[in-house]
Amino acid sequence: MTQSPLPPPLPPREPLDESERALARALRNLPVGAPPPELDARILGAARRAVHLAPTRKSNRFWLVGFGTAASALLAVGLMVKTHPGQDETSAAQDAAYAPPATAISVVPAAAASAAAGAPAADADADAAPAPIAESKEAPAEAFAPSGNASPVRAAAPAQAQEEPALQQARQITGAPESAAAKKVPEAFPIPAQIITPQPAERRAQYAPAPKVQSPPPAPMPPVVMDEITPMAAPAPPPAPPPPQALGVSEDRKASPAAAISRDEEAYSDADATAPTTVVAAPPAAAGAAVNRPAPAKPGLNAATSNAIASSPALSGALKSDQAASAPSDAAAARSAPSLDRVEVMRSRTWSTSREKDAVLPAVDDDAKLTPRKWIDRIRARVKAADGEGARASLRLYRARYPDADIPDDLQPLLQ
Amino acid sequence: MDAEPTDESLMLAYGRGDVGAFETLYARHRGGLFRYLVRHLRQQALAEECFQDVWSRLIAARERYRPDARFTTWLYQIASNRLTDHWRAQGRQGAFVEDGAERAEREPDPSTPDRALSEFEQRRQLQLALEELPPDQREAVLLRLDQELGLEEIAQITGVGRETVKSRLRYAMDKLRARLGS
Repeated sequence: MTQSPLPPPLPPREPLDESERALARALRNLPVGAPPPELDARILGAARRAVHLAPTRKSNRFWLVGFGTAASALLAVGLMVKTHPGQDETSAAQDAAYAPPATAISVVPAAAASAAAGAPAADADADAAPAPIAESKEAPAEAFAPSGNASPVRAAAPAQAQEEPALQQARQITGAPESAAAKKVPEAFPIPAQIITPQPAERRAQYAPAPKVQSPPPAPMPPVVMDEITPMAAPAPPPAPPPPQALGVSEDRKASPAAAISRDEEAYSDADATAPTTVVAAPPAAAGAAVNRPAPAKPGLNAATSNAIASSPALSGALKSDQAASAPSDAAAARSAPSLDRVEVMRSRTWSTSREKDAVLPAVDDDAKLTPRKWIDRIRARVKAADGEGARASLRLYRARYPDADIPDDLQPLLQ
Repeated sequence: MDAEPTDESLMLAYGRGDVGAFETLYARHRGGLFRYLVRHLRQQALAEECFQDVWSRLIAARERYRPDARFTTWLYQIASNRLTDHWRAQGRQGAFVEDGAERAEREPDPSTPDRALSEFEQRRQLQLALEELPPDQREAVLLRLDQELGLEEIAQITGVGRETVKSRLRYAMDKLRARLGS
């Protein structure tokens, strides 16, 4: 028998006195009987069964604990996955505030490209691949160098700030390693100063460009009316939008649109990116005469999606095949067109900023549905998205809901 | 030579899975508990049912047992609660289900005739005196005389104060002495 540790000392019992003892003796002499042996056997059997069942119950308990833990972890992961896109949008918006302007992908038919005869990017090699292409346009990294009030991370790593944000986002999605060759790509696209000019930091913070992917429309479109990039930092903004700028891609891109895409992909995937690729602004007249089919920007496509398409070989391949399907009609024109590529600026930064803000940040009342931590993050996102009023209203709502909660120091100014 | 393990040690050992400890514990307390139940319920079958229930409750609660009090206190507290449930289900408390005298006469008595007559009369009187006691006093006197529990333990088992137990015992003992003395 197992000798258990002794229990704490118990108080002694009062002994029976003489009269009690006599009565006790008489009481014990009363015939009562004893429990029958069958009853004893039942009770002892129950005691044994209870002990023998105990390990099973414990193992069941362990199994239940394990299952519960796994279920909880699965639930947590599911919630994270469920909520991750929203965080991505927020972080993308925050990143985009310091990122280069909109990276648009437009399909430029070969015929349209041929009309842009003035474009210096024209080349006879273009007939090698008549299919319309989707090409990405990057702004020069210099135009978006970190400003004085930029985030410390960006200020400390200007080289990283020069990297294309779409590529960064795509890497975040696909987990692809960052290549040195990819870093060189933006530097190979000098953009004329009249298109993109350095902006003041406070203005630049408002820009949240979201690259869009434009698939070729099924029917030919009228001549493109391109959005212009409003020179934000210009001391005196022009009264009217500047004429659309058409940018031609020379060298590699003029050889073959599809090949250019392939080369782009190679450049983004550690391939040698030494090939000179330049974007040259086409004359306004040539740009106006350009016949291309730029589909309007689709707000439904967010930046992450478009960037993922832009940087993912599989998605790009699918896009290329899709474009190739509509290619034959433009094949002949493309053969005669030395320059097939056209870089089009589809929207302005202001448009992008407002669209991003509307797209990423929901109504202030919806913030109350978030947990306190996410709510604070949402307020920060509003601040970074230059939605000061929304951030202030959301913070007031937060304070009303959680009067005892501490307001982070970075949000204290909103209360004043 | 090892001392006899205490009830509390045996119960703790059983809580850890030692069936032998339970067998020892059961052997120690089966008679006393059964007597206690029979004298309360005055029906053998009913007492057996309650007896099994009490031990089943003890088995089920073996892992929760803490030796803060004596094992007997815990055991008879379970029994007292079981009796309370029984009386509550019956809608009456400690009512006689049969005549005490008839019950005393029915009990077997292997003694010699002379002695048997005297002892029989004494037991009969004691049985009648017990049955005439109010249930609270009967419970207290049974725990005190039959189980030899202290006032504090009886107070814990019955859920009343020590002075209340003392008062009940005093009244009960006076009635028993008066009955047996007459």
